[in-house]
Amino acid sequence: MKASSSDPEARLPLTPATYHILLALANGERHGYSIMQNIAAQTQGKLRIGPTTLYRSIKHMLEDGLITESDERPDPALDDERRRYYRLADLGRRVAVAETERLAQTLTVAHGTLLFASERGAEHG
Amino acid sequence: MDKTSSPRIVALSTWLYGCLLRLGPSAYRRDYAAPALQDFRRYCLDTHRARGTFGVLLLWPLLFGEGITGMFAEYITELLGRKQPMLPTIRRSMVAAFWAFMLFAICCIALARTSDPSAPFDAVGRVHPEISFAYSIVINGLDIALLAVVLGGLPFLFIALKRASGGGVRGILRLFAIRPKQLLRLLGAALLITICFLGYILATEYIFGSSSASPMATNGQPPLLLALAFIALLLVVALFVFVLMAIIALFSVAVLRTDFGTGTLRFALAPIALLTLVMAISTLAAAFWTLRLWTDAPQFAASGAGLGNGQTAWVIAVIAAMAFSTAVTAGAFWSGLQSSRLRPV
Repeated sequence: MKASSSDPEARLPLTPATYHILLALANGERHGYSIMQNIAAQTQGKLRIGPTTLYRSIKHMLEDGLITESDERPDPALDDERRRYYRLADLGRRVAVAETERLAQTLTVAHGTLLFASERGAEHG
Repeated sequence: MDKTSSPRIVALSTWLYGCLLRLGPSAYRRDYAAPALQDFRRYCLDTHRARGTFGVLLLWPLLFGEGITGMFAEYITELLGRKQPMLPTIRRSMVAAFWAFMLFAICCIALARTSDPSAPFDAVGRVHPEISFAYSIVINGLDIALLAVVLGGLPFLFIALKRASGGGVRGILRLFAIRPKQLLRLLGAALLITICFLGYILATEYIFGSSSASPMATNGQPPLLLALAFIALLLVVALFVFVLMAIIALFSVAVLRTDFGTGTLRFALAPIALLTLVMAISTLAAAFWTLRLWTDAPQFAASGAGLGNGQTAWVIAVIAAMAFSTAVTAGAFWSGLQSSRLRPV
């Protein structure tokens, strides 16, 4: 029997690839290459995911029920090659929200430390 | 898009990447090699359009590097499985620890059957207190392990039953239901275990036992009758093992089918840790007990009243099974702890 959990907290923390794929699919379904482009755009090119990592992540996310596969069809924007499209599952949406909240909390903690004391001083001065 | 119109560098890169993907695990290759190659080619074409041949060459370390490490990681994943999230992992750890405990309990009872309450063993224990002490550790270890399983397992059984009772009797039946295919697998496993076990006992009796006590001695019985008796014994033992495994499986599926809270599952790590500790100490004590019997009272150990006539083989099998069950429990605890620590606090 395949064990699965509907608790999004249990799946955290996510790998950067998984998190950015979820973000890329947050506004609608996309195919693999479109996800790669979107991740590069989201991160201003700081995170580039190659096809192998992308499809390994997609494989695991499909197994975990975070995303689902839509019908294969041509990409109207680029060419007539048939492509597989993916979209967020309900669990994937909840996991993405939970991870974002976790990161936001971490960010708040980080900003409260001495790491950013000089920036705060410059702002107040 | 026509592939022949690709620039040479893109065609070469795509061909090389295709070769790399062909080295990957078959399941990944079957499901994802084609779209990965399609996206790789698209990436190279876009880069060539923007930055020319040199730009495509600059992509090689990134794309081929991640391709090689990705394929390697996929092989590792197929071999060892993925690092699982916390909840399913701890649930599996609980099930593994429960199965291991049942094996451990059978081993302790088997060891007790060998030596307790036999008077000769008591006499040796009085002369050599460390032997008596080691034996009492094994027996008390079983009691403590049982207590850990009961105290650790009852809350989970209660929660599982409470959740399932929402669906009435049918809900409870569904909680414990095992598919016929799974039952057949259990039956096959029970038969295999019985055959291996009886084979081991008979082989060691034949090799190490005295000729008069050898089970291979027919005592004038017709071979057909002996064969039938052996088959009957095999079936009875297999049935006993099957019933035992089926009962453990019922509880296992109930745990796997229930959604427990994170805190509740974390609590399970405490009894599993105690179980690991107790089982490890008991296994060491059982090994110590056997060794000291042979070194402190070798004549008694070699005699029929002691560990002679095949009893030693029985005790070695028991200790090996105890060590195996301890290793499984330790692995279950470690795996549960790792997945629990993965989660940020």
